[in-house]
Amino acid sequence: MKVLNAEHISMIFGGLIAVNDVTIYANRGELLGLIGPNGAGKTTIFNMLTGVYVPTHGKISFENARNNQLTINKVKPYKVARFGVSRTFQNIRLFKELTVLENMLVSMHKNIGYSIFGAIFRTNGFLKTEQEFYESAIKILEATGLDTKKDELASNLPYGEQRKLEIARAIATGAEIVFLDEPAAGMNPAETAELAVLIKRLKEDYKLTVVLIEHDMRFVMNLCERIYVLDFGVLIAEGTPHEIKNDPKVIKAYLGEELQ
Amino acid sequence: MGYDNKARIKSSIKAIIFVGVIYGIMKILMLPQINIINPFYQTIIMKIFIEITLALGLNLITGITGQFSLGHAGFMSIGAYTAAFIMLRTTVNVGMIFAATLAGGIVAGLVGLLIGIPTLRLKGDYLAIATLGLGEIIRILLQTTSKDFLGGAAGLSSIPIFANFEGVFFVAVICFFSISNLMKSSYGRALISVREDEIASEAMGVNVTNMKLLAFIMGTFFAGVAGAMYAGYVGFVQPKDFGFMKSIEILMIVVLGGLGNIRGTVIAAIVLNIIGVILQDFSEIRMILYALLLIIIMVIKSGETPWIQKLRAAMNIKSFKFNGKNKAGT
Amino acid sequence: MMHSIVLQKGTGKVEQFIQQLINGISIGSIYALIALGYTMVYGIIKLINFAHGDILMIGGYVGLGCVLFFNMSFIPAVLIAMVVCAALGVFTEKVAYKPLRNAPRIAVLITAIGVSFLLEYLMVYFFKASSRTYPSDFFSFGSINLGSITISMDKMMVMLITIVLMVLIQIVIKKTKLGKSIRAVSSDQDAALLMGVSVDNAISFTFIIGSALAAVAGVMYGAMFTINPLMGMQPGIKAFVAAVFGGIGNIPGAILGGMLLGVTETLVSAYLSSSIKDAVAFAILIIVLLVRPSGLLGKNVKEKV
Repeated sequence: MKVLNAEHISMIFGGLIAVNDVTIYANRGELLGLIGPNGAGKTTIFNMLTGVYVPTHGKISFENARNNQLTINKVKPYKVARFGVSRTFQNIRLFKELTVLENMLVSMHKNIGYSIFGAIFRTNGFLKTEQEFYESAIKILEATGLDTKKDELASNLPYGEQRKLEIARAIATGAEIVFLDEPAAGMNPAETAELAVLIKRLKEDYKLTVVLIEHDMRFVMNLCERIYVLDFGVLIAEGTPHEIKNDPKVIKAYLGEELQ
Repeated sequence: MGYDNKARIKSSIKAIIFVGVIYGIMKILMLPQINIINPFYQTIIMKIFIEITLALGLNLITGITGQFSLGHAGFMSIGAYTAAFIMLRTTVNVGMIFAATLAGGIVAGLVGLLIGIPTLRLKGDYLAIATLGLGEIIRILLQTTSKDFLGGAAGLSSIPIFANFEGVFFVAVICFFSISNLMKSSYGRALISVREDEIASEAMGVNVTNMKLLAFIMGTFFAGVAGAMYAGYVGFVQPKDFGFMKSIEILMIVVLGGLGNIRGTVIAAIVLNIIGVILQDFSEIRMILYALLLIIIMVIKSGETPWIQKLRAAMNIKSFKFNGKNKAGT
Repeated sequence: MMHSIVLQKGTGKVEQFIQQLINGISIGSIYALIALGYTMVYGIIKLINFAHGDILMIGGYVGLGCVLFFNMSFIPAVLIAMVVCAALGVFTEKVAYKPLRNAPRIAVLITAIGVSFLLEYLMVYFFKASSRTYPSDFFSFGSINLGSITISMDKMMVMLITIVLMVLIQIVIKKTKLGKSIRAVSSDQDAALLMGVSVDNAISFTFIIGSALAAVAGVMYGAMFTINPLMGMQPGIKAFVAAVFGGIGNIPGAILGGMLLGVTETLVSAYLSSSIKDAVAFAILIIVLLVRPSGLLGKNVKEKV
């Protein structure tokens, strides 16, 4: 069953066609890869899918586990997030002055069960909600191995852990679909391998559909079930890792063409 | 940091005892037999409490939520005029004082809402300039009012002196605990997340617009309440008392105390007022000192030259974080 | 307030309108001169230089000093004011703004407010808060009559000086090496640095030009009205509005914005009410910020994610 359906989406900035007539979909529980050379339009697609950019053409819709439909056309990003779509950022965007735990709790704010007066007077509802938030945040932190650092400021974490925290924070929104923008960027091979295991486990535990952008080919080929390849804003291939590896168009896009 | 009931209740009780003790000590020192806090000091302390309320409201908007406002005095004037207008037309009793003060806050908060909806879309320095302009517009509009309505340039005078020590003290206390409790809740975290990174905050499901409005309404509400107290404390209000200069004075307290630091705001309000009293007869020296402080604080806290960075590391000073400075990626 | 413009006697409505238009353009010329400094500084280091109006004030005082103590005429007095203000502008940049070059914009804005207050109250401290006037014959060129319209040549001189300076600045910016370096740094500081452009020099030069123009504006403004230590704030903020109106960072925009603001303000003052004149400038500012933040001639910029 399709949880994400983007049909013929295009994004034009001024005169520049960043994404041209791309159609992609995701089945529930799938682990998808979106690859392509630099400037191919991958992040632009993520921005359209999460409501940051409004596509110039095309239609994007989501379906969540309760069979609700959401067609995003000028829907604000926070509403997309509330529907169960979350993401990480290529250039890490953590809340640096908040602790690891507080970063997680921000993601749960949308489910808040008390009013401002509840917060000021610390009502029972406030205490109950805070307790629930705390418990579910800790659970996700334990799953990512960040629970021992919960009281550290996000900006004090090493780079690899900041990337992990971004993933944990995205899951904390209660998302069903998570977009990961270069989760392994800047990691060494050991960390990358560990991350692949983590993503797989989180996907199972939290019943997620994962779409990720990545330049590390071994990482993508090992992890993803299906891969889309983008070049100059156009979708040039789609298929299993094995198919993609042997696709001449993909090889051409990455390595260029031999001169005749 | 757990979220158990007992710890929360314990800290609440501690806070109540703390406030009670402070109040008791001040009351004892004010007794005529002791007279350590004489009537002159008492007026200064009252002024400090009013400024604490003003600065806490601005800190919520600018320090905590990262929305830079240069028009806070405008909202103060709305509260002051509303309360003065009411008190000039009714008999003075506790109920009316309470109602007039609350009305001052509500009217200021409503204007804050009306102004906030269009302007909070603006970022960083653009928002600063827009709020500066709005503050000035409020002042100019007050100047053009008729004599019988809001008094024009001469303002309103002979306002009953309705703000007493208890009034300003408890207003400041309520403001402090409202904001500090809010900070420790999910709302507080969401407000900070807006300051830290609007785009990430929105992507995590936070309604950024609503959060900015929440901070703006609450901050301007307290500015209005403080303005009402001010009107009932000095007995007259004039448009020129609520100009850009006043907004900067409030900002000064917030910057000195540390953006986002509410205890710091309280301490800064006390320190700056003590400096003000000492330099009472040399107002230009006071302003020169304030200006130098602003420059030095900003350069030390945010400066990027190597010696400043070393100094900051050596003295363990945190640098300021503001909204609107995100390096672009692709 | 300080610069309520004296209406000249015109007989008919059309004459009066033309006279108001001339008044508006002359005050608008001064706004344009100040706005140019704002816009260039904003263009290059993204700073709303709050102290820019106070540089104008210092210019006014230096000019007055030249007249009172050395009995100078307009041109030498202006030249000395330009040199002093340029030096002061560069000094404030080096001391207060340079350490904050990569800091958040708000931090620099707060610093600029500090610099503004520092200049104002140092002047209050040393020269008292009272207003002073230039000798009446310092900037006086009489007036001519064209039919029923009386045209003040003082105002025509203000316009003329502004136009000459604007043309000069355009030539400097477009044709000279320094001008090119300013444009390079404005469009991409890092890239300019990599291409061997001295970013420090470009920024200093920007402050020199902006401050020197403010000095000219300060002397003319002082000669037309009066001067006091807080005089810079009003025209400073107005000029900032003008810069935003025209599109901040855009030089022709600053000129257009200054002229339009001067004319609008004068017409509102003449035909509606002088007390809301200042509110009009701020209302324009807010409307422009909300409807077209890039101003009349500016380009739209979107934040990347």
